[in-house]
Amino acid sequence: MSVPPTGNSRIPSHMVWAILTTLLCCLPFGIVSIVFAAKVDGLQAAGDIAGAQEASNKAKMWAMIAAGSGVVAGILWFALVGLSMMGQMSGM
Amino acid sequence: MTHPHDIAGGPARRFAFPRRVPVAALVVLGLCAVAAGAVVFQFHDPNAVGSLFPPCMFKAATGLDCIGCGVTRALHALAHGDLMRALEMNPLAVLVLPLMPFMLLDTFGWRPAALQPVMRILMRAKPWMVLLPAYWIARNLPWWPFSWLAAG
Repeated sequence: MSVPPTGNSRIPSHMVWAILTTLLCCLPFGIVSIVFAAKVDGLQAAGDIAGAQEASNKAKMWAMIAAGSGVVAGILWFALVGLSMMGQMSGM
Repeated sequence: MTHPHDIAGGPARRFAFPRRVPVAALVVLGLCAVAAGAVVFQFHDPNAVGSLFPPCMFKAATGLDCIGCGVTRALHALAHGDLMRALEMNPLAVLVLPLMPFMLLDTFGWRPAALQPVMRILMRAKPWMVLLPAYWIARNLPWWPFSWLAAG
């Protein structure tokens, strides 16, 4: 299924995305993503390939949710800034 | 007729991070982002009152620092060559962010043998799962030395 290009078929944990979303927009979703990422290697080592793949998918999903909510929050913030600037200009 | 998604034999993947992106393209993209950031930080100061940079929602709601609080100000300090002020703002982020390009490239398959001893440690998820929440709690403790971890 999703096999990294090199090495023995390691199931991707998407951990770096989890760390990045946690550090750069710090939504709790990033932490959820790291928790699932941490499960991947252990499950794969234990031979639970299906479980590891599921944890991998969940880690990816939560990293996407974290990044997505960060982007949405950013858009809302700049929309608010724009609105308040327009309000100030019309008030002058 | 096989559907393109069925080639690998698995179900269609809805979210797929690109796996075969040329490393050079990623490096160029990353350098462009760094350069753009450096330019933005020359003209906009996140420390200024009424700064346009978005604040942390967690901090706005709770008054507590999150893991990423101070990153914008730390990057601003780095863009001005002030490493000490960057470390005051968010020491963990300043230490960890330089590792991120290498870890990201590792996930995209760029794995030089010389880096492997370090990468094998960095790419284990459990230590991160402990470190990041521990840092989150520690930087909100009001006593020295933890107070040094707080933003600002």
